[in-house]
Amino acid sequence: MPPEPANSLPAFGFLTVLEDPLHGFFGGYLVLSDLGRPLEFHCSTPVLPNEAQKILYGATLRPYVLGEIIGQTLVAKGKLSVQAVVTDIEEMLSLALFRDEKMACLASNETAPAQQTGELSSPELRLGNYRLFGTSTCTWQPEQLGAAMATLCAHVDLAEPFQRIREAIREAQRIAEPQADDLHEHSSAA
Amino acid sequence: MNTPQPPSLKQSSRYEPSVLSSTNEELQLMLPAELSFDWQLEMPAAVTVPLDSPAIKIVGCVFPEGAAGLDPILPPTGLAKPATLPKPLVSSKVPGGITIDLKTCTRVRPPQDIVKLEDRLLYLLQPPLERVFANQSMEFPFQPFPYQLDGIAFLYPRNEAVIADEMGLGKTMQAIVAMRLLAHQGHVRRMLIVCPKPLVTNWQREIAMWAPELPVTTVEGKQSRRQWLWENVQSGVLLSNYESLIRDRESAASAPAPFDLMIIDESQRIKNRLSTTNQAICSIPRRRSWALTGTPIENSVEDLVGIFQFVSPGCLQPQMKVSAIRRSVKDYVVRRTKDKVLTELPPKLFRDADLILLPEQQQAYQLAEEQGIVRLSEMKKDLTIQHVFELVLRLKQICNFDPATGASAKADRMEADLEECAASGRKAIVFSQWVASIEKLRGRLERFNPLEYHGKIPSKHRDGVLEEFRNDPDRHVLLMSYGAGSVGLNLQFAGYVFLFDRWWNPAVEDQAINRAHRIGASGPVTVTRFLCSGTIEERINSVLEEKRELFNSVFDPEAPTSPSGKIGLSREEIFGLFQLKFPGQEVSNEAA
Repeated sequence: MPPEPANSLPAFGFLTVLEDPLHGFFGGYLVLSDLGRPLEFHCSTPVLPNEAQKILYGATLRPYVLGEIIGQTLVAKGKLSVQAVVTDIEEMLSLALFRDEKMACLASNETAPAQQTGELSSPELRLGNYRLFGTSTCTWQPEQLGAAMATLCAHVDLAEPFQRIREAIREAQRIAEPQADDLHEHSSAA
Repeated sequence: MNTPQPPSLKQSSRYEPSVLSSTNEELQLMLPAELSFDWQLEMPAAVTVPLDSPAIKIVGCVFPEGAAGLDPILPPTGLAKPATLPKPLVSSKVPGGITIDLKTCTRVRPPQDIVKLEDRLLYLLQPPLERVFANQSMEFPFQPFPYQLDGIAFLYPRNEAVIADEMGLGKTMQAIVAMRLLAHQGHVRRMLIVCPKPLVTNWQREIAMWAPELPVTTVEGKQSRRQWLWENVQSGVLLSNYESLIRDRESAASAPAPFDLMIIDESQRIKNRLSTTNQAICSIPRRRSWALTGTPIENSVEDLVGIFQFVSPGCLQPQMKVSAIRRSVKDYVVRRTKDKVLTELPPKLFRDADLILLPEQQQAYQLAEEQGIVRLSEMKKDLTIQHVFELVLRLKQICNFDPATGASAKADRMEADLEECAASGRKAIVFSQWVASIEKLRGRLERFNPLEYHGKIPSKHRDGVLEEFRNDPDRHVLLMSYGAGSVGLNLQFAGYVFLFDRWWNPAVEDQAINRAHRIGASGPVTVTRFLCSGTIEERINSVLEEKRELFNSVFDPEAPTSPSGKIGLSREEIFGLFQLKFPGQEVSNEAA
């Protein structure tokens, strides 16, 4: 369950993973104010499924690892309540089964929406160059979410916070493993 | 046999006799002994597959602005932190200004001396610089170049930094915008800028353009007024010059509180760590120290030691090896060159004018050289570098003009070149080491209506000279001395630069050339270097060319390092110009 609202800051969560072929999936969760400034950040140690898990989970492995394991742990760790959690990885939407926060996946307007199947429809919202969509388990109302995110969209390119998260994950990983290559060295510094 | 089995498997895998309660022992009793058998089935071996959830650990933090909604947390002091609650001082609108284009994404990265993960993440997770400017409604006169935004992002988190971009790339603007951002976010309130005296008006103009809301107070006037300013200006930008600061050093050093930010322009002025200027600058209490210079190394890598005495005392020590200096300054210095970042800047075309001395000059030159060398040879142990230096200067002056007749191969060539320049409506800057040569040249170039900018022109008239050169279409030529005109001036409307004589140091020549070849240059800049063949000028030039590589060796990791560590002429090299041996007296170690 999300924590009780402990503050009046309008905040939004951004959730993604950095995939590393050697180490597995590094998760990152960034909470931004509606002006785009960082309020809270959490990242995970890498998660590398073993062979048995790969075989047994099959096609459901990524939703399981990304949403249920990484996403759920990270969002649960958040201290600030958020108005929505935005991800750029569709498999993360499985988190909607376990959390009450509004979960939405960000995609470019140019990508075609998935075909609706079954009786339950999935919410979808278009914001500028992007569209936000959920799965049938996501219960948010597009109009309400659009209104809540209006200020944020005026101050932030919605895809940009994911770049911040990936850089921060690299930084955290670089500090944890000092022998690793410095991935973010200032290119123009002498 | 009676194998223990899990209860659930027991029922499903066994043959069920009619008497459900019968045990093995009971059945044995019911059957004849010869018919006894074990009716139980062998159970298959089971392998347990671990399906525990993958182990996961979380690290993270709530930043001050987020924590403000939870519990009151005081922001840590020390290094500059990204803004939490930006409050613009006054309106950030620039008349006719623009907001930053959001297409680029420039990130602020933490300097290496920030070690705590939480602090480093706070920098990395900030919005791109372009967004910060836009969100704070900061306008600019025009869109900065991406490398300039990189420079601002470099300066912003650093308490100790050197912008060592090549001349003409906009160091001043980068420093002003970074300062403006810090001021907007409440990190700095009281700032000090020190620059060479001729550049004070340039800084005033640039601040008015890039940070119009920042109040600027220029330290000038009578001593009592200056002292009052040092003691009482508690906010905004205090603008002083090196010469004035030396006079005011006690007032500046005993200011009521440290400056939040101190910027020194043309920081090569403090390259000599034992000089009065260096000591006066370093004595001023400050929280952040930024140095701007296009030539952090003019003569030797020791110049950097002097600059770092201001930027980060103790970071560099005298006599450090070039490789160690390179490592030590890496995180403090950013240097970009035009060829790397301004690929669209019009080209800089070099033209070496190798001239033959006129007969009168040749005669005077030979006589002076022969007599001079004989005299130097006779001095033996009394010979000092100053004696050699005097001969070099004498010969260079003859290369400019014959002292008796005023004949000059260079002036003849200059006249011819300026004909073309004036006919095309372009403007030219002519540099010389000596005011005397400039004055002689003025007479020869009278028909081109030349202007002069050198030590004999009073400071209060100099801006007027530049304005006239900029705006008057009939003023085609500006005669400048290297000393007065080689740094800080923006003369990008000039298409021609003439080096009438050569300076001792290629870095100073580069500074001079880049007055014209800089951002805003509308067309190619043609640089003509005058050199008299078979003279001391040619010999000096060949030595300097060999040593030009040193500069790059500190800032370019792939460049080889010079064992001598000097870019100017050493005393041995100056003696060697005349095949003389250094006698070993106590003399200055370097000439340039």
